[in-house]
Amino acid sequence: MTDDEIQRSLAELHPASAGWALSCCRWDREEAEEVLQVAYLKILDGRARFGGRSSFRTWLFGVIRRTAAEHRRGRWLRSVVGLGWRDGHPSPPPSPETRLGEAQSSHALRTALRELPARQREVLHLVFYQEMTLDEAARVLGISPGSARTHYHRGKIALQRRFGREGKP
Amino acid sequence: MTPEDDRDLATAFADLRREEEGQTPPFDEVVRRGRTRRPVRAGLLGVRPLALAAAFALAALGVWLGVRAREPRHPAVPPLAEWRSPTDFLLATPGRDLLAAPAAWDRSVLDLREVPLTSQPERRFPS
Repeated sequence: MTDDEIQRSLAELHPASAGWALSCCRWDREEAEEVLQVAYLKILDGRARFGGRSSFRTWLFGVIRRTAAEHRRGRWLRSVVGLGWRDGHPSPPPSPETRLGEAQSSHALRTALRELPARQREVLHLVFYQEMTLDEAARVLGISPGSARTHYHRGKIALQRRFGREGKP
Repeated sequence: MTPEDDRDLATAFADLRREEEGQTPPFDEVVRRGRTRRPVRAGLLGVRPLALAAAFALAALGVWLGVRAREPRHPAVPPLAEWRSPTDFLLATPGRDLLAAPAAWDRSVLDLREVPLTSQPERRFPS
């Protein structure tokens, strides 16, 4: 893929990537945007290269997921060592309208998803939100399709239980 | 889980997606912010003193452990061949020379009397 094609593909997939980054960061908007920035720059600067072994979206989601994990480890390390610096320009806090919107419709689902184990949350997000097949989700997560299926079924049951408790929208 | 449950979940996720897509900053804006933000790894000068101190302590610990590993664990031990028992003198009995050099087949036992009993046991006492 040429640089232009990569940039175009990234732009096309940007809304889906943003949703995936949010899920990887448990809906911490600031962290999700940082992760997305770092992941995009890795790709645009050639530090992460698409090998063509899977679809571009599958590969991109894998890069975002790994970047989120690195970011989480970095944050943890900085908090342990006592380096309380926050790098970059933090994204502005959500507006009252945004908060109201969040509270109205999807708050229950988001809360229920946050409580799930990471693998279950990721599989459910990829299948229901990104409309991927279980095989594609397994490739993004680097697990076997059978394992993805197990996480999917357990996640659905757990989500249904929690979602029911939180109240359906 | 029934198909209706799956449909409910799919609807809820679709609502969530619509909501989040409305709040997503544009792609160019995300890239621009990424390019202008300070890198996480700011180099040695950007690191706070506590981190420097921790790194220095770790390095010192590493050097100390390395030096310690190279040192012999026990003081120099003499080779086994040089070892002598502290009660070895008890074996130095009178007439030891006679025992060390027995009479040859073609000599009489009486000739042995000619051998002077020179080797007297050294008087030593265990400390």
